Amino acid sequence: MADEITRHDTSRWVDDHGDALYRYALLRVSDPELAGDLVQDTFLSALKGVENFRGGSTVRTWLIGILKHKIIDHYRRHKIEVLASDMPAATEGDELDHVDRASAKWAEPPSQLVENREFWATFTNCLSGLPEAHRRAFSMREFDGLPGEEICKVLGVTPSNLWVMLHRARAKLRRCLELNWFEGT
Amino acid sequence: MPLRKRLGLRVHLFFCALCRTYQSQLIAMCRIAMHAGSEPSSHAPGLPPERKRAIEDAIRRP
Repeated sequence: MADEITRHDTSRWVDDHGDALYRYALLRVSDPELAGDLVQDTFLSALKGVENFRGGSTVRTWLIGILKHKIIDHYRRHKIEVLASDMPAATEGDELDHVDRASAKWAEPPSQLVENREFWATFTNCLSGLPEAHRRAFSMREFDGLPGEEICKVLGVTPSNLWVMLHRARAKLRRCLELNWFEGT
Repeated sequence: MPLRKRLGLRVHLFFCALCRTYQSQLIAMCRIAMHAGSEPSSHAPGLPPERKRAIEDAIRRP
């Protein structure tokens, strides 16, 4: 099956898939330099393992699968300490104080919001404002839909820690979007 | 979450309009994240040209 990926195809990989892979990585690591390194590693690994490509998916999907593993490996190798405030006994904040009753704007389809340049800038700003450990947990759970057990293993945290981290990440992001986008537009 | 806590939360949500709004906003936010995760915005920056060149060089290297 590897014969199907010719030398000509691989020479076009960066042009055809570089931007998509970079966007995928940048959303998850919020660091342009690191995202570039991960994309470079992905292409090099893919080139080495091109014989393993079975052709059951598109090249893009296959490359994204490799990149996904690279990102998880990075999280494993560079562990972040769990904040003391992420212990299960931590008290909750005043999240409900900032809930706007008129939530109709929140009902806009995600596809439209994501393709709105200003919304995307607000969303990524809010995301980079999260503590690193929260962002990683949120990214694996909400972007990639990974099961809790797997996320706990990667981050080296207990299920209770993870629950608190996810709760805090969701609450902070919701609040940030509410204040910087939904109330302001 | 333990059953007692879960039931308590359900009763709380049943009576609390503000909590329901909060819950629906959280769900909307998670949907946005799920969509963004599978298909990042086309407005997100692409691979910087200098990095693109570096990767192309690395790939061509025997």
